[in-house]
Amino acid sequence: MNSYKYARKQGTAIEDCVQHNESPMEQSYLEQYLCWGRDTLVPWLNKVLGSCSDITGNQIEYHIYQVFCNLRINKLFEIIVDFPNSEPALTELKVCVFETDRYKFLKASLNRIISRRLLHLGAQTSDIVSIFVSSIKCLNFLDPTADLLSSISMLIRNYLRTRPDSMRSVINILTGDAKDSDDMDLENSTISNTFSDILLRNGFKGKVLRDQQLPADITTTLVKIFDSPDVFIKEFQTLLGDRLISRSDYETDRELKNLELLKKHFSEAKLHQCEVMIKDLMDSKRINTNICNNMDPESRFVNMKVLSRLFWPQFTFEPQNHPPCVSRFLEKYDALYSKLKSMRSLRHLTNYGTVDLDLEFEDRTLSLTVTPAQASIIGFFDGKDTLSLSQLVNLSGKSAQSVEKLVSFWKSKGVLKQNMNATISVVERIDDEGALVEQEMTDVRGHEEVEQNVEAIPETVKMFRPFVQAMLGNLGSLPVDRIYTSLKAFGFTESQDKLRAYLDSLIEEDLLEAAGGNVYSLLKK
Amino acid sequence: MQLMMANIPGVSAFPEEGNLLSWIATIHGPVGTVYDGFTYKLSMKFPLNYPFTAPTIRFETPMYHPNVDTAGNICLDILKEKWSAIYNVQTVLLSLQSLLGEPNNDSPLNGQAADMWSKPKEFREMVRQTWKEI
Repeated sequence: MNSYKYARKQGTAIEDCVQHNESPMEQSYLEQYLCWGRDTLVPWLNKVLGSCSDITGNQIEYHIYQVFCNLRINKLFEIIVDFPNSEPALTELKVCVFETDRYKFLKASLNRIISRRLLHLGAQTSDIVSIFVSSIKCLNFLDPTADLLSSISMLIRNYLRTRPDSMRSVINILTGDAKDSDDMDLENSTISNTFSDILLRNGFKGKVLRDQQLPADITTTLVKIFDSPDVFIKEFQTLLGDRLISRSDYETDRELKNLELLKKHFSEAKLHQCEVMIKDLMDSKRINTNICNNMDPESRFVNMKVLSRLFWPQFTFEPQNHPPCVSRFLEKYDALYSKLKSMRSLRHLTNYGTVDLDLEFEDRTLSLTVTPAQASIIGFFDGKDTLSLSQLVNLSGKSAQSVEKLVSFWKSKGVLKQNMNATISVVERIDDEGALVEQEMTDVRGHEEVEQNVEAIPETVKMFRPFVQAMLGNLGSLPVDRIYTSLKAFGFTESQDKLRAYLDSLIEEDLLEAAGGNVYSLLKK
Repeated sequence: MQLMMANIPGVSAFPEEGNLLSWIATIHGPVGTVYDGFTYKLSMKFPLNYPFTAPTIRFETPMYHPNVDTAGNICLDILKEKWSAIYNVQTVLLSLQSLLGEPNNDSPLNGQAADMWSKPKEFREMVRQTWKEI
């Protein structure tokens, strides 16, 4: 009895020692304590207790294993998060679990920890996925039979299925840092001799089964989250398409590497479309160089990507007229392409891609990267100073609403301005005109500005009218940013500028008054 | 949320900055009563287990009323023992508004006001004297 008590005391002491250490996970202590137990503790106990001692070295050893096991299981989540830095701790845990036969306890605690600390609303999907990956690695190391893993991956999988963005996160993890799937092999890691002896001696079931059942591979486990690989491949294809189109060069090395990695896990036929997509890009590079070489040098300013329609995800085709300089060029490009590849024609998807613009004014130049639609609007002003909105609508073939949006983009850049008679003109000189634009934008009660904004205020903002009324009625006068933060907490999605414009329009309606600067209050009646 | 969007004339309420459990409410005196034309501010403090416990409501604007004491505390059965979880901010404020017009003179907190209730002219004068913008 007594000796047991001593052992208990020692156990507590060991626990304290390990816990007080600053980074207990990156070092291994077990061996040290085992030696101490064998060489110091047992002889001392024997001396103190004399003949009535029935304590043996094995008992002390077992106890040390037990204490360590509890310690490490308590920290299991941190161990998983810190992996591979926490590898020593993991090795110790592995040894302790098999020495004390606490496999079931480990499994139960693992499930509990995962569902309590990982699978809750506060965790971001990408974090869950990356911790899942890290726990796959840990558990493959702990238990090569994948029994532990299958129990928690069930939990995580069911949870991830309830999250809409899990597919994207998984693909990002898989493609984002592809080296993850390479360093799977932990078998050669540095397990000290003593421990590997123990592991061998115990011959735990993992060793036996090693050859029959390979440790779970990360990609397969992640893909298994989703019911069928087809869904996954489709999503991958969409993402791949987005990435390929949004690049301004023809670089495909990275995508190709990702694709090859996926090919290890899926049949080639399923990934055929993705392969065509990448090949399209490579072909485009050649075709584009070829065509550009056949053109006169001053019109070599467009690079195209030729995509095979059938193999790419669905595109939205937005009809749009181009400024004369651009459409002239596009026709030439078309002609050269048909010459190069007979019987084929191009259909321009001008709502994708980007345009690098250099705008030259009388007194300044601007360099911008914009969308093609934005560029073509400014292109219509080439050679003309003033256009009306309806003229722009006719020229571009877009709806009045979208034209207005594009014009306001350029207005915010200080390139276009709206005149009194509702025409739009280019701001050639910033010093006289620019000041006016700025003033218009900052002067919250500028008549024109307000009038314009009343038309542009969307219903989603107007919905908040009673809300604003209640807020100002009860809290007195408030600055715009306070109103904005409060509204945001209740689902207001528009920008602060939209809100300001709306509040200004409420002043016009005699509902509010501006109490100096940015502060608004209810108009007292 | 419902109240903020509903825009009921005469009553409104809004959370104070950064604290959803503490609201400021406004009640306009009902037309045709001695409180007609006056606006009263109230503070509403919600306990953590709201709606299972009644919020604590006080008049912040000085109030001359048989069931309101000089510190603004209110004696209304539905805020005390008759509270039910189905009440919300909107219904409570409406009950308070109707309390202004129909006080319970049998259990007054302000005895003087209860006595004076029968003389509307004098009462109105007292209300006017008590009311102070905050």
